[in-house]
Amino acid sequence: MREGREAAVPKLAGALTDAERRACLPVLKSWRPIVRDRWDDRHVPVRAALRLAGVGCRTGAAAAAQWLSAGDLRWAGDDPALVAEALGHRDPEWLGRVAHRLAERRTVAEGAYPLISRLVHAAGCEPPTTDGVVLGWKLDVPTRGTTIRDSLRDDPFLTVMVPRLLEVPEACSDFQYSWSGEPGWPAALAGLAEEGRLGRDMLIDGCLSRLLPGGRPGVLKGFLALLTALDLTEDERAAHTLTWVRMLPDAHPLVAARAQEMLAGLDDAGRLETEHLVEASEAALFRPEKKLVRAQLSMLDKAMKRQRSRTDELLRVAAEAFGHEEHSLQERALALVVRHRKHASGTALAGLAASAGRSAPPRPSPGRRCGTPPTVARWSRPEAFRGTRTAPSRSAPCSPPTIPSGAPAGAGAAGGVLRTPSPSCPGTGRSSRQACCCPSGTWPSPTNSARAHPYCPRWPRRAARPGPRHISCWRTAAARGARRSSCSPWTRCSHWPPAVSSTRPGSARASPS
Amino acid sequence: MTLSLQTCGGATPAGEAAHPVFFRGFRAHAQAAAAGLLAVADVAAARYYQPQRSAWLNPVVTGNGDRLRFESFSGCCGVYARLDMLGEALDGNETGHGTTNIDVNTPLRDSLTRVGPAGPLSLEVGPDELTVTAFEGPVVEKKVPLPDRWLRGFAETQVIASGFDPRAELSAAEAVRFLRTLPRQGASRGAARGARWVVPAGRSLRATTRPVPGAVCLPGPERLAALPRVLRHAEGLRVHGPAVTPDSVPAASAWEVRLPGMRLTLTLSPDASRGFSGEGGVLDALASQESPEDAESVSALLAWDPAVDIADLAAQSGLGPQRVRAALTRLGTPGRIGYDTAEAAYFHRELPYDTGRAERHNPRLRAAQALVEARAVCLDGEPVTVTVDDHHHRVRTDGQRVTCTCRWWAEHRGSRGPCKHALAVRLARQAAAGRTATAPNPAVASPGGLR
Repeated sequence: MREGREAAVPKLAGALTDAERRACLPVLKSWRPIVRDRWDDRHVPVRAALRLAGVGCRTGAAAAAQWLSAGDLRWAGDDPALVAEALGHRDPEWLGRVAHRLAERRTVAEGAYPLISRLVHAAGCEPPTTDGVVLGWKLDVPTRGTTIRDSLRDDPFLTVMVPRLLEVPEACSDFQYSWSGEPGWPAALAGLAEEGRLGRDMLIDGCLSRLLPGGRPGVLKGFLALLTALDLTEDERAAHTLTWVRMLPDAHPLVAARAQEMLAGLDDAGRLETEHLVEASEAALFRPEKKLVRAQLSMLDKAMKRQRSRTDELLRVAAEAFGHEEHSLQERALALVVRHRKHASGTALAGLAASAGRSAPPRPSPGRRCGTPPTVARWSRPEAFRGTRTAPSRSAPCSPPTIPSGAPAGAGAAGGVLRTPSPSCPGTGRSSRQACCCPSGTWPSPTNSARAHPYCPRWPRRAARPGPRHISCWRTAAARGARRSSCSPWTRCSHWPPAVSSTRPGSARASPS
Repeated sequence: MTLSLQTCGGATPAGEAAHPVFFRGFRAHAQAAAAGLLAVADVAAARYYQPQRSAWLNPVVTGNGDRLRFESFSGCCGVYARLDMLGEALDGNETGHGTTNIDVNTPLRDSLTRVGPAGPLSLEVGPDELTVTAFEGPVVEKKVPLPDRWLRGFAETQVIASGFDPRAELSAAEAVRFLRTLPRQGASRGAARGARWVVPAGRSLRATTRPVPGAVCLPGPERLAALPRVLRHAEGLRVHGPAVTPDSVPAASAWEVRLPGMRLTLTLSPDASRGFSGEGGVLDALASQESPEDAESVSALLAWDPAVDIADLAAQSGLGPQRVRAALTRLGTPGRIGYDTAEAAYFHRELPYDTGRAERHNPRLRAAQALVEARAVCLDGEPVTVTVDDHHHRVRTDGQRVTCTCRWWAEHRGSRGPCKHALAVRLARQAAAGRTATAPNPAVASPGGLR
């Protein structure tokens, strides 16, 4: 030991009897503080030798584990083969206890996995499954020159470690990656489940219970990849219906989107009960992510088309989106309701009008986003959704543009400015005459054709634009020198282009007139 | 669905119990209750300052006769969450009295997430037997002892929260809209972090750049991250905070979401880097000599009341309201008193720890006592000199305000309570006054240093 011949120590230590071990131990203990304070290169092998000798002379399992995990000795040398040799003559059951003691040490277990696995093999006992051991096991799976699937196939601890692997918080952050020649962990696990080496149900349950509460996006992406790799059958999807439903309120947006896909698939197959569809829709329509809300509205649309009998209930749920803060989503929900109102009962329609009345008021600060007031609010009268002759958007008060008296009557024809009461841009909230919205300061100009309309570049893509007839109406008004045109630039009327009106409830096609 | 919350080692009116039973019955609004519990557990598992993975700690549950309170602190101790389940939504045998902590582990979180909207939730706080059978498979119980920081945090929050007044009230829709505009936890970098001020404007809240009168500080808005989980069930939002003046520094505030039959309150410390445990609001009460006797007489009158009335206590104990208040602060230091901002009332809880623990474990008070014992305080003249190692600090008393020349004082200017030198001076003065009262010849601490 003094000469630092590490490799020679195990042979000497292994052959000792218990009494000799007890006799040697105090000497070794007295060495430790001396060695700890020496930092020169000569003492590194001495430390490594002391580590082996010490563990060879320990008689208690806990004490041996403590000696092995001591930081001052470990960094000098950590060869599991030598330690196993030094402990080779011990009772297998004792070796198992040392392995479990090592596994319980949080800071050491991951690094000591090679030693733990050797000890477990020697003892023939069940491997410990603490977080550290699982992480160590995962690191220890050989990936060079082979695929993960092939290495896992022969792994003796596979069935014990994989269920725990899905539970350990930090373990699965690299599940999302794959590279050429290596399809990655999800594919390996799914493949082994196909071969029957792993329980498919165990993988699905573990995966779902990690997706449900949320977590770091990297980890969640990995589990989504595992879900993709597992490629659930329709029966399996239907068996976890409740899990998909409960994912929608709080899960990460990526996970919620996947759950929504699953539910849409189930609904298409007619395997989703209305009760669950209602619960899922209530949760999804409340979420702030526009994509999820849009997807849920189209799921409701399909569901109502497929089965008219549940229109009442589903329309009530769709009306939840009237309260969404995004006006575009409110209007999408309104369009959906208007489309299906023929099949709804009178009480349901009255309820819809009531929820339209409760819809989100226009934003209090007109500086940021303004423009069209929410169309939904105009549908709040009890008779709004009833009868095919009513056209609520038409009967709503319209505020047509006024032309200031200062503007010359012929100015419009001469390419002058038609001054509107500063309609503001939905994108920026600034007035149309301000530089940001319209560089020429001539909006809406009678000389501009619809094609060359100087819209602000920040005009939202989905915001409706007036059609050529709308503009020509203003033009006529300006040419006549009239103070008011028959329609306003901000209220949809029959002049709005049919392409837009087909999806807009306030337009000519959606509102039967 | 049945939800059994395992309790471990708590205090009850009948003494210590290994697994006290507080409630067994039904809870309406199952999903909202589950979301509220998860929010409290989320706070216990989170760390908002220098995030790292921390051990999950167990929320503390108190049975207050007509309600259940679930409380927790974040890992950084800067957020205090309390869920009050009020009596009207609890339908069962009567709610017991006592305090313990419940064990929120992975299977419990999993099943709380899966709670459905239909039907009431069968809720048990304190099981019949040790095995919990509501979940599939065994429930692993990891007992995490209540950390000292929580104990100090309980003491500090009630002192801070008792200075709050309601400042704003928002409807559910406006609350959702406002809370969704706040930065998320992961996205908070640079300007998004730090304190901002909001002031009620119309139906909602408006951000201001400076503390105008009526404004509430929102220190570290990303720390309200636990609220989105319950927003779906929210009935309104109420904001509480101290009175501010234009030259106020960032202050703590409480954000209370009203849920059906419940209230979830998040109290934020004045800065993400400041835990409640170190705020130092109770040090004066701890250091004073008068309150222990008052505290004992007041504590005899407490009986797990959901709302402690100071006037009543003053009448019963024969002490003035001021002394009752000081006694309650003293009782608050081992966490025996909490403050409910929604009802503006103290409530009684009893943590299974002895009274002296908070005192013993308060680092600043301990350091001050060490200074006094080392005779480092020289009480002759003004300013008082405190000698630490090889240098001196001057502690100047100006009416109620005590200032010091140490670095800690320079950084916080009294916003986190007195420094250890000021405390040591106070302790030394008390000792000197005590000696004057008992002996004719006062022994003034001799000048000397910690060597």
